Amino acid sequence: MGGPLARLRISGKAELDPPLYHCFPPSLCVRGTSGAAPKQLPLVTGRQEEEEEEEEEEEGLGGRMGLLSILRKLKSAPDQEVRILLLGLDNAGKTTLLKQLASEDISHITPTQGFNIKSVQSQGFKLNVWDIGGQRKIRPYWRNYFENTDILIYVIDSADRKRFEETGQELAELLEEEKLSCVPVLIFANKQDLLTAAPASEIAEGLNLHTIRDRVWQIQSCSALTGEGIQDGMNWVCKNVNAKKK
Amino acid sequence: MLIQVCLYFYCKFLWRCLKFVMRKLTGRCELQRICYSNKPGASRTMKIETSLRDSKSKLLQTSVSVHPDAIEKTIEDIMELKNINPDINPQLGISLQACLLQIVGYRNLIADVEKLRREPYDSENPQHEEMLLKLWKFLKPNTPLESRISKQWCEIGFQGDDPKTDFRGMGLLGLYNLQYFAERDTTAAQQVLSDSLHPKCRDITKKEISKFSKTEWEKKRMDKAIGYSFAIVGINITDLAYNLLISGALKTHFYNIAPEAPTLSHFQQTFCYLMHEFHKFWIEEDPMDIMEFNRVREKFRKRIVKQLQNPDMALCPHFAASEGLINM
Repeated sequence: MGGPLARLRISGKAELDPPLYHCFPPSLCVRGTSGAAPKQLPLVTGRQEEEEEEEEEEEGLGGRMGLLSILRKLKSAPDQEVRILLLGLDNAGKTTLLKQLASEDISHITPTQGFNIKSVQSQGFKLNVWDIGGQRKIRPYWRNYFENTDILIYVIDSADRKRFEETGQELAELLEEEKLSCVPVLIFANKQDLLTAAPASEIAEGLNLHTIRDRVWQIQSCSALTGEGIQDGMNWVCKNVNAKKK
Repeated sequence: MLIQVCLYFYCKFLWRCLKFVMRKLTGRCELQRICYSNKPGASRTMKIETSLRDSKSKLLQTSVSVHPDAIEKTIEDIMELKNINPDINPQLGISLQACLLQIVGYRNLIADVEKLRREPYDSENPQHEEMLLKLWKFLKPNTPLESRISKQWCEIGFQGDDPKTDFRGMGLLGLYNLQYFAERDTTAAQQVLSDSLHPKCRDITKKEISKFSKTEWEKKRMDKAIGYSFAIVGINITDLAYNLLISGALKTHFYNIAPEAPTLSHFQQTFCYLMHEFHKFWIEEDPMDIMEFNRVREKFRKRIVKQLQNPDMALCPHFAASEGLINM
């Protein structure tokens, strides 16, 4: 399951700020290509700077500590609070993703009524992740949470092909929201651990992601269950926290 | 840290000494003293449990996890070890046995519940499917389900057109609980369901309030409509009941209401009680909308946990599902 999964990343290059793009550590793109263990130490490519190498090592060691070390890279923005909105249809895996980010037990998850919020703290940096229920009845409430969002994470159940159209519509509506205009969007093609999961490229095409011109975007395949791919997605999030254009 | 460790051993040492002195003074061992000075129920059973678990003797330590069939034998062994003559103290054996049955029963209940929770809902298993359809029938006896996959499921508070994905981490346990509630306590379940379906009438701004006459406003306020998803909340409350059980908070309740080992139906009755209480609590709290669910749920959990800290507490269920229960 692992190989092609971690490698697949399609980004909206057109809108990326050059300096931000530059600080993508090259190692992130090769990570996990060997498959099985998502948290293993990445292959270190020659072009890396020393500092990055160090941090990558910590990531490999600490597993979840990785998130903290990525945040450390954002030294230019100390004490910054980041508001992340986690949306998607019901049963997409938002709460599981949230709990994975907070390194909590994911075996007792129940459908979300209302919302959950978790803060992942790191050195002078605080990620406030809002996970809002995806049930149709709750979707009208989504808009109450749009204000001041720094990053939108949209989660898709890649194995639920019957609802691709529905999820595409919801996403399209979100992208048209004025309050979310220019907010960078990360799309998680979740549940890649399932055999029937559609690959991220297929989803990207189905959702016409390449027509997005007004913001930075990225699609990342992942499995919230195994944790695979999440780190890569969060790396992208941290790189693009400040990419919101006024 | 070091001080804490020292303090711990010091206290343990003191406790041992105290036990020794008491034993010499009263001529009775700790188990006897507990049984003679506490009436049957949670306070006695919990003290016995602590005493057995903290005992130096291997026999006493392991006695809390023996097989229910081996309890009698274990009691005999304990009596022998403690030099208690069963002819002089006939009541002690019986009391100890009752306590041990409850202690072992609680542990086995955890195992049973955990097994159900771990079994995911499988739409290819005819038993699971039958149970799901039954749930519909009990809740909506007058409305036939048009097809297995249908938007109708939303009417009883599932998220989409196929409930199978909604059980998640609670697995079959959620379905068992919901079905039990709907079957054994049908009227109440239907009432809770119908209350939960009303959307809340609260889309009024301050400007509009001034337009309303006072009576009109009161009428709107008094509207008991609440608007949550029955089945989903049921699965969430299952999670609450499960966590109370695992953490041991439900011991007070079960040791008080189940004279012998607590069983799965005791757990399910507790679930029914929690659904009732949560429903009442939700109305009392009068939240703005469903987005406040987790806040209300947490407040409710704290209240229940606090209630359960009282050793005389039983989450006294006085409704249809538990009529055969209040016989102690």
